[in-house]
Amino acid sequence: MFTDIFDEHFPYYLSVGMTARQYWNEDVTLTVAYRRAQELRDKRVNRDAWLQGAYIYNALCCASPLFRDLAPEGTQASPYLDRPFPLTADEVQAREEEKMREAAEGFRAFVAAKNSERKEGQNHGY
Amino acid sequence: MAKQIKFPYKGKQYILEYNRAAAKRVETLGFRVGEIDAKPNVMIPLLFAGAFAMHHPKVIGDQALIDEIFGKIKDRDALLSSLLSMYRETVTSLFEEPEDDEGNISWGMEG
Repeated sequence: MFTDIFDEHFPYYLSVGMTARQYWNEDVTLTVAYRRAQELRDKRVNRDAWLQGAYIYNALCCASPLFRDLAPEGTQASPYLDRPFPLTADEVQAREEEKMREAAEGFRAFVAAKNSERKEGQNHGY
Repeated sequence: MAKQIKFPYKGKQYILEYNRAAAKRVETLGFRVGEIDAKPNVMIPLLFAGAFAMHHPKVIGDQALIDEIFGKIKDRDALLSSLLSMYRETVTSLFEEPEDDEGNISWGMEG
């Protein structure tokens, strides 16, 4: 009988947030939406756990110089991330563009310094 | 959205639909989907009457009205097929993805 199947699945749908009234008295296809919502929640929880693992791994890697038994005096940990990992495509792109800007800026500063050195050399007759 | 059957009768719009409470109720009254072929005279009226419970609970107690409406329904084979589909959806929606929605069904009445 379907009644047995309804009773068997009732606790699951209560656990994912359906009310008893919704399960028994309202549109039967609500269970489809609740099931899909739970799948999305599970994916999000899994991703959050993975992300936390990535941050912990990064922190351990940064601190790892300090864990060596024979590390020289004055050994310091590498700096931890100064901002979160980029997660969305837009954030990744913005980060790449920023890196390119910093690299270009660094190159400009290097060229300017070299040019300045050469001019000083010419002034001193080198 | 779950399937519905809509029709007018004597100036009133009726909506037939199955929720789980209605399916449980008709099973309590003796409906068995596997016995439709063996006992159509018992099972089909039960299935039809049960579809009123969700939107017209007061009609459930008026068997004469339900029989009268059933007597006027056109194409009872198609009606039975739709009612069975609605009844089965109470279970299939628990663990299957829905089929393409054929939309709500408007039904013709004789007379």
